[in-house]
Amino acid sequence: MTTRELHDIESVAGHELALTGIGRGERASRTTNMRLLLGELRHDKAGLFGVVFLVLLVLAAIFAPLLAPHDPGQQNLVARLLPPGWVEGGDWEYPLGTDGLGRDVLSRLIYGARVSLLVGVAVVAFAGIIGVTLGVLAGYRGGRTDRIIMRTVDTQIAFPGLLIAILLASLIGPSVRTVILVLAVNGWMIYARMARGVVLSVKETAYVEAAEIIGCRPRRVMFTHILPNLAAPLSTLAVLEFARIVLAEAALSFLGVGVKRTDISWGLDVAIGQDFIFSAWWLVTMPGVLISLTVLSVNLVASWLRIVSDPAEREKRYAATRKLPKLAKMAAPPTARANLATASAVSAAGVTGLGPGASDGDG
Amino acid sequence: MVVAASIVVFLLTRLFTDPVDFVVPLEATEEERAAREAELGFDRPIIVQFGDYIAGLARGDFGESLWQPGRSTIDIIGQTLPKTLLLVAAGMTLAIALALPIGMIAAIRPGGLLDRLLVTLSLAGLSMPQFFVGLMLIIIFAVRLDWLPVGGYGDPSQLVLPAVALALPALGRLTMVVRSAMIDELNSQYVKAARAKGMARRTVIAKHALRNAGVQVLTMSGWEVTRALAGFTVVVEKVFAWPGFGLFALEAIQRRDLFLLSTIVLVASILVVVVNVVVDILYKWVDPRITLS
Repeated sequence: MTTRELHDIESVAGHELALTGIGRGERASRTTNMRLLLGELRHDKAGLFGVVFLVLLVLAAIFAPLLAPHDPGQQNLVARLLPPGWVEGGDWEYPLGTDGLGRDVLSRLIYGARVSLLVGVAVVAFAGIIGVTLGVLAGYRGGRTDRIIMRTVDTQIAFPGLLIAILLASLIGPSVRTVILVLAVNGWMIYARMARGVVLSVKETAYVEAAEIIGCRPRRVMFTHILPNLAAPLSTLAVLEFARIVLAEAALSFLGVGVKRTDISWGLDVAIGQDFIFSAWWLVTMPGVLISLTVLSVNLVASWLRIVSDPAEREKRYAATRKLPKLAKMAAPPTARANLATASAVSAAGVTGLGPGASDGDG
Repeated sequence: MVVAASIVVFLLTRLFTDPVDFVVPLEATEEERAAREAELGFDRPIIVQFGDYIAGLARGDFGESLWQPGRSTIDIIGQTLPKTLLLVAAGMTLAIALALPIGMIAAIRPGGLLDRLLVTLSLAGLSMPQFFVGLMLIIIFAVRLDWLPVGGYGDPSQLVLPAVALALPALGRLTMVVRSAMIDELNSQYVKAARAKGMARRTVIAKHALRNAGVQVLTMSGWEVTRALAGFTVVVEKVFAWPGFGLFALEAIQRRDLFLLSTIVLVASILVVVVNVVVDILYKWVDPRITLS
C-alpha cells in the first residue's frame, strides 16, 4: 500500500469523524427545527386540527378511568336504549345515550380509544421493524437474500389480504393480541419494499462506500449510515399505515373476528349497534364518527408531515397561497431571503421569463 | 403465485383446526364422528389429503363444499361471483366516473375555496370505515327517507346503496390522486406553451393534461379494483346482505369450509392477476411510449 493510499484512508476516517461531529451539532439544531415545525403547524389549520384531536384522544385513552362518567361494562337495564342528552327523551346522565344493555355510550367510546390506539401503535411498530429489517437486508445484501425476501413480498401482496386476515384471526380466535399479530403479518411488505428502494438508492453513494472502505462491518454500515436515510419516508408511511390499521381493526371487530365480545372496541360497538339500526341511530353513528375523525386526523397529520418534509411541496404551497411577497417583506435573514427569491423566481420565471433580480424587486 | 395462495389457505385451515368439528352435530357420538371423518377423508395423514387436493386441482376438481354438502365449490362460485362482479363494476364505475371531473375541478385552482372544500370532502370520504358508510346510507335512505331497500339482491334498486357504499372511500382516494396528478401536469411547460399559443383552457385540460395524468390515475384505479376484488367487498356485502362471494367467504371461514375457502381465495387471486394484466394493456393505450415486455 502506498503512502498516498494510506493518506486517503486517513482523510476518509477523518471525514467520518468530522461527520459525527456534525451529527452532534445537528442534534442541537433539531430542537430549533422542532420549534419551526410547530410554528408552521399554526399556518396549517387542518394539520393543527389533526394534531390536537390525536393528542386529546391519547389523553382520553390514558386517563379513561378518570374521564369516563360510568363503568363501560356496567349494565343498567332500567336505562336501556336512552337517546343522547340533547334528544327528546334523553338523559344528561348519559350524554351520548345508552345501548341495548343500558351501557353508557360515551364511556365505551373513551375506553374504546385504548384498543384502537394500542392496536395501531403495536402493529405499526411490529410490521415496521420486521419490514424495515428485511428490506434493508434485501437491499444491502442483494443476490439470493434479495430474491428470496422480495419474492415472499410479491407473493404475499398477491394474496387477498383482508380474506387472509379474517381467516387467520378466526383460526387463532378473537383477542386484541390476535388482531395485532394478524395485521402485522399482513402489513410488513410495504415497509420492506420502501426500505429496499431507499437502500438501493443510497448504497452506491460515496459516503457508504467510504464507510465500507475504512472497514465498517455490514451491520454498522446498515444501521448508522443507511438507516438514517429512511427516517423521512418511513415517518410518513408509518402515519398512513396507522390510519389504515385503525380502519382494519374496526373492520375485523365489526365482522366479529377481531377483539373478544367482552372487549371494548369501536368496531365491535358498531356491530352491536347494527341490531338497533331502526330504533337507535346513535349506537352506530357515535363510534363510526369517532373512527372516521381519528382516521381523518391521522391523514391530515400525514399530509402536513409530507408537505413540511418535502421542499418541493413546500414551495408549491407557498406559490399557491401567494404568501410570498408578504414573507419576503419581513426582515428575513439573508439566507432565507435568498431562498425565497429563488422560490419566487421559479414560479415567476415560467410566466415572465425574468430573472431572480426582478422578483427580488417584487418582494 | 396464485396457486400458492390457495395452498397456504388449505394448509392453514387444515393444520390449525379440525373441520369435522364444524360438520358433525354437537350431540354426535364418537363413532358417528369417526365415520364422518373417514367419509370425508380427514382421517388420513395431512400430507396425503394435501396431495389429493392438489391432484384434484390439476384435474379441475376444486372439491366439494363441506358447508353445503353435495355442491361443488366451483358451482357455488359460479353462482356468487357474478353478483360480486356486478357490485364491483357498479361501484368502481361510479367512483372513477366521479373522481375524474371532481379531481379536475379541484386542480384548476389549487388552494382556492372550491379546491379546499373538495379536498376536505375527499379526505372525509377516504377516512370513513366502509361499514360505517354503508350503515349511514341505510339509516338515511332506507330507514329515515324510506327511498331504497335496506339490502338484499334482485331488484336494481337494491344495487344502489351497496354500490355507493363501495364507491365512496375509493372516490375519496381517487379524487386526491387525480387532483395531484392534474396539478403537476397543469404546472408543466407544455401546458403553458399550449395556453400561450391561444388554446382554450378547457381544451388544454381535457386533451393535454388529462392524457398525461392518465398513467397515475390508471394505476390507482386498477389498485382500487383489485382491492375491491381481493376481499374488500366482504364488509359491504355483509352490511347489505348482498349474496356475493365475499359473504360466502365469510361464511366459509366461520364454518371452516376449507375447500370452498381455498377455491374462493384461488378465484380472487386469479381475478387480481387478470385486472393487473388489463391495467398493463391500458397503459399502452394511455401512453404509447410504454412497451409491454
